[in-house]
Formats: sequence, C-alpha cells, structure tokens
Amino acid sequence: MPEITIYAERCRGCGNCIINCPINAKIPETAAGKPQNKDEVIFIEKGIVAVLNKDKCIGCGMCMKVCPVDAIAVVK
Amino acid sequence: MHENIMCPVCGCTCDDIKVEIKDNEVYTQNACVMGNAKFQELVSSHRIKNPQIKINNELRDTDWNTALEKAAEILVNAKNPAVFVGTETICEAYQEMIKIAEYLGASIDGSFSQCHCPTGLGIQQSGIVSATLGEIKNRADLAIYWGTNPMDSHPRHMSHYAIFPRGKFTKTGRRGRKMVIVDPRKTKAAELADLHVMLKPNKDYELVAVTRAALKGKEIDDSALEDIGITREIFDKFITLMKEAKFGAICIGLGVASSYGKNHNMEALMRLTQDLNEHTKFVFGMNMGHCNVAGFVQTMSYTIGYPYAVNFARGYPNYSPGEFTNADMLARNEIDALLVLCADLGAHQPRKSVENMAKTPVISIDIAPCPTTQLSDVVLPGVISGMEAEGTFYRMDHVPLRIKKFTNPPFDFTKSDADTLKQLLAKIKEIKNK
Repeated sequence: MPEITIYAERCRGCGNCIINCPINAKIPETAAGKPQNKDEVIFIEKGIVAVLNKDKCIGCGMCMKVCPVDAIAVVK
Repeated sequence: MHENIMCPVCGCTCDDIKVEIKDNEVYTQNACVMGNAKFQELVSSHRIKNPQIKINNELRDTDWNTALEKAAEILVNAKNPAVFVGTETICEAYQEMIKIAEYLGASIDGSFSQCHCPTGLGIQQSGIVSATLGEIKNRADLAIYWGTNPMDSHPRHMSHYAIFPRGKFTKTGRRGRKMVIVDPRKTKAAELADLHVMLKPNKDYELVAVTRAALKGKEIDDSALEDIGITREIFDKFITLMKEAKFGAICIGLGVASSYGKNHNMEALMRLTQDLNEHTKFVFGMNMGHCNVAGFVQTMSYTIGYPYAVNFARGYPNYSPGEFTNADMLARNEIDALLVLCADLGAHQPRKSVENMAKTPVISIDIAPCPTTQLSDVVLPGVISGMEAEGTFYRMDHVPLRIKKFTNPPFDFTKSDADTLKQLLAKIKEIKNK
C-alpha cells in the first residue's frame, strides 16, 4: 500500500492536492472544487491536509506534483 | 457538524466550510490555514468579552451602558469626527455606520482606501470588464495572476475557482487551462505556472504598454523588453497565450496596485483587458484581501453614490480621495474623534497617522486586543460575523452572499455589529437632543 507522509508545518490548506487527486476527482462535487470529505483519499482538516481513506490511494503522486510547498509525499 | 458555512477571512469567501464546536474546541474541514485560524477565534482566550473604557491611561472593564454612553459623548462633542469601517463585518453594519456618519456630519472611509484604492480609481478612469468567479471557474482556460501570490493571499483561489476545478466548459480541470504569473518574485504559485513573466520591480505599466502595442500589431524593440527585464521568448509566449485563449481572466493583486504608477497601472490593465476582447473573451478581476471589502464599496455606492473617502460636514456626501481618506486626515491631524469598526488601524496606517491617532479620542469595536484597542478610549466587544451573526457579504467578484451564523456571541448586550451601531446611534441621538 502506498505510504502518504504529511508535513503539516509547510501546508497552507490550499486544497490543490485534494482537487487533483484522481480518486478524489471521481466525486463530481470535489472535482468542481467543493470537497465532500466522505470517500476522498485526502482532505483538509483544521487548515491542513490529512489522510481520510488511505486504502484508496493508488500512489500516483499527483498530490505531490501540484503542491508548491512540498507538504505531502507519497511513496508507492 | 455545520455544513456550507462561509469563511469570513479572505475575499474568496469559500462557501463549503464544515465546522463543529465540541468541548470548547473548534474542528473545521475545507478551510485553509488562514480560515481555520479565524474559526479558532471562537474559543480563543484573548477574546474581548466585556466593554472597556480608559481610566488613567489603562483600559478597564465596565458595563455596556457606561461604555456606550462614553462613546456617544466623545462623538457628539467632536467638531470633526471620522468613522472608519473595516472589512470583517456585515453590510448591515456598514449601513448603520453610514447613518452615524450622516447624523454626525462625519467623514467615512473604509479599508478599501488602504488596499485596492488604486484599482477603484482605475475603474473610474477606464471602466471594468469583469466576471464572477463562477464564470471564471466554468469558462476560463487562461488565468493570469498579475502582482499577486494566491498561495499566500488567497490559498484556495486556485483550487476552488480559477485553475484546478472542473467546470461546465472546463471539464479537464488543470489540463485544459493555462496559468501565467506576472511577478518580480519567484513565488510558490509561480512553481505551478505554465509561464512566469518575471519583470523588474515597478515595471508593470511598461509591460502593459508593450503588450497593448504588440496586440495592435506594432513591432516591439528589444530595448523596451530589456528595460522591463524579460526576454523576447517569454514576451512572445505571453502574447500567444493571451491571443489563443478562448476565455482569459486577469486576476490582479496589490503588487501591481502598489507599484509605481498605481491607479495608472490599473487603468492601463483594464484598457488591456478591453483590447484583448478584440481577439478573444477576456475579463478582469480583483483579488481582494479581506472577505467583505467589496461589501463596503457596494454598500457605500448604492447608499450614497460614492465608494469611500466621503465627508458629510456640509449635510450632503462630499467625495474626495486624499482629502477625506482616513490615513491622510489622521496624518494632517484633522480628526478630533474616531470610531473604528473591525479594523486594526494602529497596525496598518502610516507612522504619522498612528502618532496622531494616539492623541485622538478613539472608540473601537473589535473582537481581540490589537494596537488599535490599545490606543482606544472606549472598546466595545465585536461580534464575529459569519459565525455569531448572520448578514450579507460581498465576495471579491462583487457577488452578494447571505452568510449564516452557527453559534451565539459570548455576551447578551448585542447580537451583531449592526446591532451595536444601532444602539450607539440611538445613544448619540439621545445625548444630542438633551
């Protein structure tokens, strides 16, 4: 299973990773910029990215790619 | 869990926040780091819960009526009072503040005059081609961030509106959009961009001028680009991206409003947007820093016809930026009583203005201690709009939104900032008619 590491001190809660995650994007509202926080892999909690459903992560690394502050790392 | 709560922090006014208050702890979802910090104010230990008046140079707790009476006395006895309106409050409070200013013959100004004032002047000079953030989300295939770093100022602007979300005609999200950053600095947002136009500081006007000339088919000399600090390759790519876009949006920030040229930069940028509409569809939007700064401008405009810097001393609204803008009036020491609503002037005004503010009787309405409350003679506790009070907010694209309340203020002498001002006006009238 892919390993997701969050660097909370760097995260600004912008949600770029949430919207771009291909698993999250299967949820129409989340893909349109309004996360539902039910079936998503990652979500924003207390202003910082957090893991919601780790088992759904496919380890594609898209969240890492769109994070300009390097607050998330995924190892497949 | 309270759902679809609006965030009362930056101009994005995100409307999908989830909040839960449990055991004196606030839990949020979807709010960015700035938004979450604001929601934590609900349970913060430094919240102002009691009215305060200054006795022997020290703020002391008092009862609501005493504080209200003292505030009204200061305002009634002043010859040239002024009121200043911050941004993190509801439009209903702005309406009450306008009534107070009109009744007292005072000057009224708001935070808009200290942030996007050059943009406002630019709009008056050239007119604006604008669109809602919804249109940008659903249609724009090119977003140009000019003089703004959305990662810092509006963290969710890219993910909620302009770059990443899949809209009606932008079904592929980021893949179907281009992103350009025009900024002298290598910002974090620039790392995500397709093109970073890294011009020299204070060369915005020159860049707009050559861009407009190039769009009209003029040859641009290498020396002009050298002066701006960009290469021919970058410039050509910039022009091509703009011409090839089906729907472009220029999102401007304070970087360009505050660089040399100021309102002339904004006028030129709006003219550029108009020129671009000869090639394709292009719109211009302001990335406003605070949640309801647009609301103040809107409320002022539809109530008295002018957006800010208005004086009522003659009995009718007299608009004059520079003459009736709060920072300038304070710097010239023209004010003898100041009422401040939800704004920390002590931390944001120029030094000269703050020095004079310290000598002026000040009444402030605020939720937490700050330099302004320290300089105040009367402090009235503020109500957190969008959490403890409902009302109207205008998002930065000037769309009015009804904000909800999901909890009550920690006191019972006022229900909202509008209620506080209503009570204050009644007290002012009572004293004046004695």
